[in-house]
Amino acid sequence: MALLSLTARHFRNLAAEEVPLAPDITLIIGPNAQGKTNFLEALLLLLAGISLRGQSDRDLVAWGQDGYRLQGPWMGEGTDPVEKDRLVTVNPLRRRESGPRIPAVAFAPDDLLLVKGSPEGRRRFLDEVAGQIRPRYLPELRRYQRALSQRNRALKSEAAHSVVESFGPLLAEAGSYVWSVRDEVVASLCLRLPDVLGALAPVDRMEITLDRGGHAATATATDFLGELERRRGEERLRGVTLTGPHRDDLHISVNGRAADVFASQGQQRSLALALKLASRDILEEVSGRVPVVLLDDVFSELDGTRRRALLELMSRSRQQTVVTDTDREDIGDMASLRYAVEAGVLRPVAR
Amino acid sequence: MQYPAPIQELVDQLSRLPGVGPKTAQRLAFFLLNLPPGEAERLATAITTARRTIRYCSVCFNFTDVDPCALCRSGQRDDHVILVVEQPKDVVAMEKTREYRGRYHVLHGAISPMDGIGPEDLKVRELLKRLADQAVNEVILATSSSLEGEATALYLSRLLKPTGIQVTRIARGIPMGGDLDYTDEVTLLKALEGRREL
Ligand SMILES: [Zn+2]
Repeated sequence: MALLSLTARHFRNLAAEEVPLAPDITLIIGPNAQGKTNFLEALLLLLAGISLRGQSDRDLVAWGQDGYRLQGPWMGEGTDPVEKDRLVTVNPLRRRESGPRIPAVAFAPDDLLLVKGSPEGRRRFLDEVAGQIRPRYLPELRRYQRALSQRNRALKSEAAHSVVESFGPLLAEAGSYVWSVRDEVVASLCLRLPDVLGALAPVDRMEITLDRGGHAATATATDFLGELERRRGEERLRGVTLTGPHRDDLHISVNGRAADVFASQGQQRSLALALKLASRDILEEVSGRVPVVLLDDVFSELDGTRRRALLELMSRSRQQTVVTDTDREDIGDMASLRYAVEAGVLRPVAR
Repeated sequence: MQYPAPIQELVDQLSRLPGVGPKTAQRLAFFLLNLPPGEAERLATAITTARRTIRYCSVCFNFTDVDPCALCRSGQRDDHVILVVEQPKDVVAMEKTREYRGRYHVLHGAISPMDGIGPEDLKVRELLKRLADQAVNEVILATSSSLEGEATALYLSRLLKPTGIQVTRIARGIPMGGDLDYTDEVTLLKALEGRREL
């Protein structure tokens, strides 16, 4: 099962050429800012409909263009290839996708900061998994974010209270759905963490919980609305919505202590890697397909043990993997196809 | 490269149209420049004539060239039901069902704080006045299922509660974020039948 090639049009700086991909490992080498990450981003969007680092479609269109298009034939198990196609226009914003959703996991250096970094990064991690296991999740999340922006704007302006109130039920409806799926993702991750962690850092007991934004007792729309009602005066004063998934955080502890404060840098990287590996397992279980793995310049960030763990992940089940790096001899031998990228153009290079 | 000023002006004006990006605006501009002079002028005349003769109906605020509009003057329609929509195009879409026999009210937009649009920018006061002046049994809220359309429906339902008039909302037969005029007639009809009280 593999994407046989990728053709990107008007996507960032990528040249509009068909780039064949290996069914196992494809390696893309090049200096920074030449288009390596853009290529992986295009793959992730085409396969899974997820953007790297939560980029909006608007920001991905090449300069001066009205939209972008990504295409590639997906070869399933013993079938003829199916064309995958993602077409986005930006004025107004419209998306059209065809072909099966293919789970994909991306690793980038930023992901190693999952434990230490901002709550936003941890929410994005949850969203990447949630969006792939529930097709309704990303549309609901977008609707939630729109309701939030509208409501915050109404709170800040002198708009009538009734206008603020009109967005409340819509916020609560979308927000409680987002909460319910995030809860589900966290529960699934918890089940898989012990196994994954065993291979990476055998001594550590890791726990994760979702800290819901605000003080709602449960993830229901009723409690959400109750909180909006209760904190009405405070919200008016501060001009922002104080309850909801936009203030969620994933609380991570190791051996009973908060990992962002008490874990060493090495431990934090192991925990981050463990979360990513566990998410890969969830995607495989839910979709029944082996996720495509996209590794963006992560090898230089890892020490020997963790690099081996990642290499093992890559070779497991022989799933399709696309790796980018500035320069790397050791992966070079594993890759069936190699490209050098310069100014958005990928050229095949010999072994 | 800069175009001669008249072409640049044409491109700039066209790119202000909804759904038209810079590339499309250029393509349209060159298409227009290559038309026979008579045809280009007919388009220009159509735009200015429509703009000059079309105004809002003083009753329902739909576009019309006679006031009140044909739908408001018709003796065949039920005065006791008013269907509230965001845009004139939604009236056209609803009329295609050939089933709805009541009157209309066009809001000309939806509540959107981000765009600075509040109830006072819509034909809401005019709706209240209509309801005060004539006997209406039911107000059907047929704003779109976009977030702003839903918020507008919630706003109106609360606003109308004290009047005691029955307020219903068309059901979601319409895709999330979808516009009424993109929805086929059967879907719209289902949505109309499945309306519920708010
Ligand atoms: Zn009228």
